[in-house]
Amino acid sequence: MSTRLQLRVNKVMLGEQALSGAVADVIPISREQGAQAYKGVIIPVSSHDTKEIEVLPGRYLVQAYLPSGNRLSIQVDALPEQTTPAVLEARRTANEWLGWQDLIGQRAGEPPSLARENANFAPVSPPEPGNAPMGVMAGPPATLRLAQSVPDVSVWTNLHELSKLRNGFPVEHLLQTLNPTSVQVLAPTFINEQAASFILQPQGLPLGSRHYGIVDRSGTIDLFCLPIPWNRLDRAYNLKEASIDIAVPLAREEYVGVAVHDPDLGTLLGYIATGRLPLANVITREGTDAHTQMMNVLYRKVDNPFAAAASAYVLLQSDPAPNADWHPWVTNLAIWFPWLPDGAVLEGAIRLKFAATDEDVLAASESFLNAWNRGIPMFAPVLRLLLDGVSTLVGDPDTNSEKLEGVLPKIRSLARAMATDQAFTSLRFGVRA
Amino acid sequence: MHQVPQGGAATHILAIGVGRYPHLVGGTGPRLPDHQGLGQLTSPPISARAVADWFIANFNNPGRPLSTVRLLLSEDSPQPFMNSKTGLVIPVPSATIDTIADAFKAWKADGDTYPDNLMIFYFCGHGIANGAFTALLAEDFGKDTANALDGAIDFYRNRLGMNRCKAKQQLYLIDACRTTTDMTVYAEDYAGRVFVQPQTKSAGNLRPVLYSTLFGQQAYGRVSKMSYFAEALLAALSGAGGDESQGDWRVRTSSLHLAIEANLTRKANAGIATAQISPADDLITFDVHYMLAPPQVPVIVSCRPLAALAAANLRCLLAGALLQERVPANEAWEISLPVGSYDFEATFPGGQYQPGRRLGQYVYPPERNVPVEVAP
Repeated sequence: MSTRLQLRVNKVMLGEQALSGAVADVIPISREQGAQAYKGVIIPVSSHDTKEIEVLPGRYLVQAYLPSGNRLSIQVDALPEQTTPAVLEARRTANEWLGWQDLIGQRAGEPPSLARENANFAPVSPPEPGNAPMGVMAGPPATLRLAQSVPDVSVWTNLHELSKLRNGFPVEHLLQTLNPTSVQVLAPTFINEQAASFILQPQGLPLGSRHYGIVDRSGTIDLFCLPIPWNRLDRAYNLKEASIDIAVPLAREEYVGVAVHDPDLGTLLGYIATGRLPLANVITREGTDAHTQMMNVLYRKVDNPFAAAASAYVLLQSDPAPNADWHPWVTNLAIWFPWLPDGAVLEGAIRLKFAATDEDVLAASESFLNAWNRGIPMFAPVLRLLLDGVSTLVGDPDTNSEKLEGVLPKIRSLARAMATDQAFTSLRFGVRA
Repeated sequence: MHQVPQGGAATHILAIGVGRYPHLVGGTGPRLPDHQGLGQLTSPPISARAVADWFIANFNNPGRPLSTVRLLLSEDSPQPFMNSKTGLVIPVPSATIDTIADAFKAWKADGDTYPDNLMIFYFCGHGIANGAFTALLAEDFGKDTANALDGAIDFYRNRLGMNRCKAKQQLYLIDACRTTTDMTVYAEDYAGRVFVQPQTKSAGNLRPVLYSTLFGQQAYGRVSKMSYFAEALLAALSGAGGDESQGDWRVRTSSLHLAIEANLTRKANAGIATAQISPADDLITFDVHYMLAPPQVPVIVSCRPLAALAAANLRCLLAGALLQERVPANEAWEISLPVGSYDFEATFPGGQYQPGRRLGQYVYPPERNVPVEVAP
């Protein structure tokens, strides 16, 4: 029998787990035995799932980095020919249903004080999520409007115009700018004095539409992109739609948090939101076991273009090599999913990053204009890439400069409304908190 | 403040600390009517001075040795800077927008000398934000009441413009608030002066940014002391950010970020700093500083329950020999130790609690917390 460490971050999250939940380093303390350090081990955040690694017997320091920025550490003795548990205890949230939000670093999930960490876990009984036609008023502030629309370039101009109205406007005006095909008004699934939580469990929705969440808190209106449907493979390689968890802090100055309950990639979004790209890159480049290969080949590219775009963003920021093997599949992402602007933005960013000729510069500008025509990017960092790209290219005689000049003010106006520490594009309109 | 021609790739520092704002609340000049409630600061000049001093005294990067350190400070009582390497005492230019523009352009020109140059930019002072855009306020912010932001640095555009600098590795450290104000909202596209415009055929420079605080949040300094971020930065460079994955001890951008974050998170959890989490943009890993000795790691020794601290004598031992000790105090005991295994003890001369021990605690970057459990 070999000597093994059984690694896990213990956190209770409504019975769910994040298998790629944290990135850990396993450091040998008893170095005279020739034990090696294991850097970048992906370990589950779970009440029961574990990750086992084979080690030499001896004492180890395990340090785990969570997407929230919290660091956990434990010292453990790996006993010869035994499997030794190494369980790191994550902090508790005020309620179990805020666990995912806390894990990915959303303010809504933070324990309000150390005293609250010791509070009993007491999930509020969930009311039935309500559906109502557009225009039905629900009690503020804990309502969520969920709009579905066809991807459309006009959303840029419409939102740009709304961003000029700083003294507030009815939320219906915002809804109209999205040209929605349907609008639902949802009641919270859970609520406490800190936040309201809306758990969406989409089923059977096809790819190809854009989904937005809208929260109106006393004239401060937040609009945020939602990755629906977020398809994932379960352990039996069946396609499932992940739940989307939206937490609305009751303090209106705090931004809405969006968590995707995907055991494999949910935490990747947290690392992206707060810019921990080296840790995100560990998850993006996760090992080569059969399951991961299946995910890479089938799921990320075809069934979940959102995950593909998120992964491509991490690779773009982490891999400085020109002509990397993953560059062509970003082009595929842009071609195969014309309703999602992110692929075209990422394609343009790659072209611009490695531009050597006038043709390269022109190709980059064409990618960015192509993305513009598809509406606002799903991911906030990708919106920033679009801003960077167009800001850099505008005025260059080798580009479609006139068109770029036309679109830049509208991109800038949404970049001004953007929350920069979010994974998904989140825009704030109306009265500034 | 410091200039050593290296004849090859080198490191160039630009550090700016703005505490004196004549046109803001408490200032000596005509007050900007739309001052946004912003006032005088004491922490930024201390912080920027300490950062410049640390690089001159301690920085080690064999492939990119230190070549230049530029320091601009606006402080109530301007003090000269003493270069710890040369012993020279040098007057420090004020951090007005014009001197910043000149220094920034000269810094960029230094960066253009070799593609392998490492560029480090540190700013501490007031910052105001609007989405992706951040205005860093120079001393003369508000001098022109009709165009207050003419006294600010447009950080977004200048960093974007630095893609035309030949230096491939650039690190930006922004120790400032990022709160949204009416001024940045109404100024729309204008967030201050731009010194360098971007170029289309760039070299794909690496330009990570470490911020002292989340978007929409305030950064916290202390009266007449270094800011929490600067303190965390220097602790990280001194050891907490050490990474041995390349076979020797280095501070890399990624480990620097983790160490700063661990430091700030600990202070936030202790109620010292308020929810000051350090996010990053475009964080890619490259080497910053090579350590000449194993790192000194911050160690935080406390008691569980915390109330026992006030009665506890705390001791740190190495292989049975006493290294350090502390008499009873209300707060946790912070010390620095080289990487290694140590024993920690809490004893109670007054007998309020039973003694407690934590044996063989491995101290390793970014920091180590050692709560010693004791029973009444």
